Amino acid sequence: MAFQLVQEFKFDNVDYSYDRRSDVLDISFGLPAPAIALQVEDWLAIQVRVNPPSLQGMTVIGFRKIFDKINRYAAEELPGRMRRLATTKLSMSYDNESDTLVMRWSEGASGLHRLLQRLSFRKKEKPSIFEPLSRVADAAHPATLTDQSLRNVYVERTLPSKDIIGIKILEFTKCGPAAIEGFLGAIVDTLFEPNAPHDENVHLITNALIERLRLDRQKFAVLTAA
Amino acid sequence: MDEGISDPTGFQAILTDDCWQHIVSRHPEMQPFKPSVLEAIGMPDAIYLGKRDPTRRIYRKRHLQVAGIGDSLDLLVFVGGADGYIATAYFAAYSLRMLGTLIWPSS
Repeated sequence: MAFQLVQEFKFDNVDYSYDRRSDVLDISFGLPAPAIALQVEDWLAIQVRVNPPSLQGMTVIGFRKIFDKINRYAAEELPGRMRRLATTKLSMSYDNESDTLVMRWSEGASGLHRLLQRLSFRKKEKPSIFEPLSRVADAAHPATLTDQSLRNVYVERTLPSKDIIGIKILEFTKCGPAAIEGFLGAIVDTLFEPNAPHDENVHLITNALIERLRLDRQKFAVLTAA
Repeated sequence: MDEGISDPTGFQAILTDDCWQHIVSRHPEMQPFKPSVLEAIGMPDAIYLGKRDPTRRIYRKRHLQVAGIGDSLDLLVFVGGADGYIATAYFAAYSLRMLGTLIWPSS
């Protein structure tokens, strides 16, 4: 297999605007540019740049209303969250022979840690394994539509720490859009419906997202149970 | 100048200059479409109450062609159900999941 880097997203040029009156948070990777939305749910849209096609940003409608209940300082902490996002890197690679797409993300080191990494002159690749994202169906728990859409999605985890560092989608040409839809949907469901029957890996990805955004999982569970 | 417009259910939505400036500053493609945003409120194809935030009204209006943007797009307009102020608006190519409860047309 020969994976070719398709796209690499660096979020160091993240730009955002929060309108308190309308409670809308717009995040763009670079300056705002003409875009078309991919609406995930009523509160979340991913913005795709028109020319050239690329990830432009995202819009969160009702940001304070949703996130204040989890963390009352959510709006005040936005600058810090955006600085943290700016250290994140997402790369997408595709292998034509196996029709496989791999997405990997990493959070950059900062300050002294980054300097030491540069001085070490070597890139450390941790060993990793792939695990299926959807739960295994059986007679007692038959596969749902979401499970079916996730059957080609695998989670990449490091060894031995088992940190989640990426996603692999098989048969991407045929199943890619449904897999991405199922993947995003599973994360949203796990955020708002923590008791939804998803595999442990979906919960782990959602938890990783919550940790990166420094949200409070317990408060989120109380909110979503209300 | 604030602009008010009634939707087919009689609900009054308001578009303020500040809000419009915020929309076009973050979504520059919307600059020529202020009349379309107002039209989406007055003559929508559908009105929803948000799935996760049922106090939010969402207006959807199909556009077969939008010059310089794309074809077969939905103009989505988000309005606060309590105050009637338009929060944001943009063109969407696709909705992955349900926007919410359809309240108009009722059938």
